[in-house]
Amino acid sequence: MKFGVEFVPREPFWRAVLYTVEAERLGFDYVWVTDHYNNRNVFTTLTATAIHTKSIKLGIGVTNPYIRHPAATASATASLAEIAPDRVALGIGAGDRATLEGIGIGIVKPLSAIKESVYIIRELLAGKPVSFDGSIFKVKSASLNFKCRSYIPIYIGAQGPQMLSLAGEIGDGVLINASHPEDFKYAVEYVRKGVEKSSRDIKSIDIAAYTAFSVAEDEAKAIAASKQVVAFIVAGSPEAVLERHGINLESASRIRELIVSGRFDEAFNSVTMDMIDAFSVSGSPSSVAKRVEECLKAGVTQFVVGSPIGPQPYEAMKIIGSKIIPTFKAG
Amino acid sequence: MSRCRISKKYIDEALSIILQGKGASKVPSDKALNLLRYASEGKLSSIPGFRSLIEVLEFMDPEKARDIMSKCNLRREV
Repeated sequence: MKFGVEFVPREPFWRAVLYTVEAERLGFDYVWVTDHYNNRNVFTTLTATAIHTKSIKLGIGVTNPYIRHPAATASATASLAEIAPDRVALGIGAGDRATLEGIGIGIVKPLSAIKESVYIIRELLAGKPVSFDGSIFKVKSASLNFKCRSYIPIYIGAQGPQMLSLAGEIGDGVLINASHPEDFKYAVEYVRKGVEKSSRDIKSIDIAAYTAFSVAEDEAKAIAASKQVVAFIVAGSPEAVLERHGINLESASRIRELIVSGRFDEAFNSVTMDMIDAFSVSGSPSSVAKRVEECLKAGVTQFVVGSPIGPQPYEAMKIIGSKIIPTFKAG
Repeated sequence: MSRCRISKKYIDEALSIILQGKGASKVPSDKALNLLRYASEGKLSSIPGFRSLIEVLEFMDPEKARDIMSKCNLRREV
């Protein structure tokens, strides 16, 4: 099992870099940095990170084909790989609807957009000239003026059945935004369907669990730290997903209403333990280790700890580095 | 050159505040970059490495920076 950590570059760049320096020392294999126009830029943050780290893999986690043209993504990713050869992974997904719509960008034909983007990016990274007439992207004799120094695996951010299947068909990896083993069992089946179409082995695909994670020696504190993120997940989840986890639809609807009306504290206090269990990995070191084990059995090959990580993120990272990662690396 | 090394306990105390505390945006980039250089080289326990940590901490929590400096018997460089 590989371990990754996700950072949202909301703070000055140096703190994300310092966190990553520590993550590398603590045994994490990957850092994934999110890509939203309103935060620090993902490529700038990862460039600084590349300079100050030696071995941790640097993941763009994840960009989308709407905010940045795939040719521009190929160029930025290859440039990063020039600084950190064999350490760059590119995550690409449909994007966050609310953030994109806020700047007038619609998510159009996400499956086609991802499929076409992955083709264009791969060809450009391989040093080939690209001419392509797709339903979203049209490219005429495009090429990079420099050679990409190493192979860059492409991970597809996926949640729905069709995107999961596409990830299995064309991705080197898949980043699944979920936290419960049942969700990963469900997802892996669709990834497997895509893998079968491409005549590959599912073992060649890195199946990454992009979890909402919170650990602390004090279980109650770890759970309390997850309530905020879980409230937002519950509010944004389709009914089918809530029903799959046995979440009371009325309670979920109430949380949604509270968030929409800006009554955040009430929304966070309405989060129940079954919601915490369904949409986060939260608790003491031993209880989260058990959940990691269940995810491994469900087919996950990379476990990414995402926001909040813990009531005190640095302390949480030290717990993960000392008590969780060694358990799964030893085998 | 000094062979003194700072105890891990103090490094951890300062690092915890720097990574989790408020005021990161007050830190000038030259001080932050200096700290990153020592951290990435694994030299925070050297005297200059630890000073780089304290210099950043001074912008985030000056009282704590003074407290840690005195516990380590270090004086602020002028």
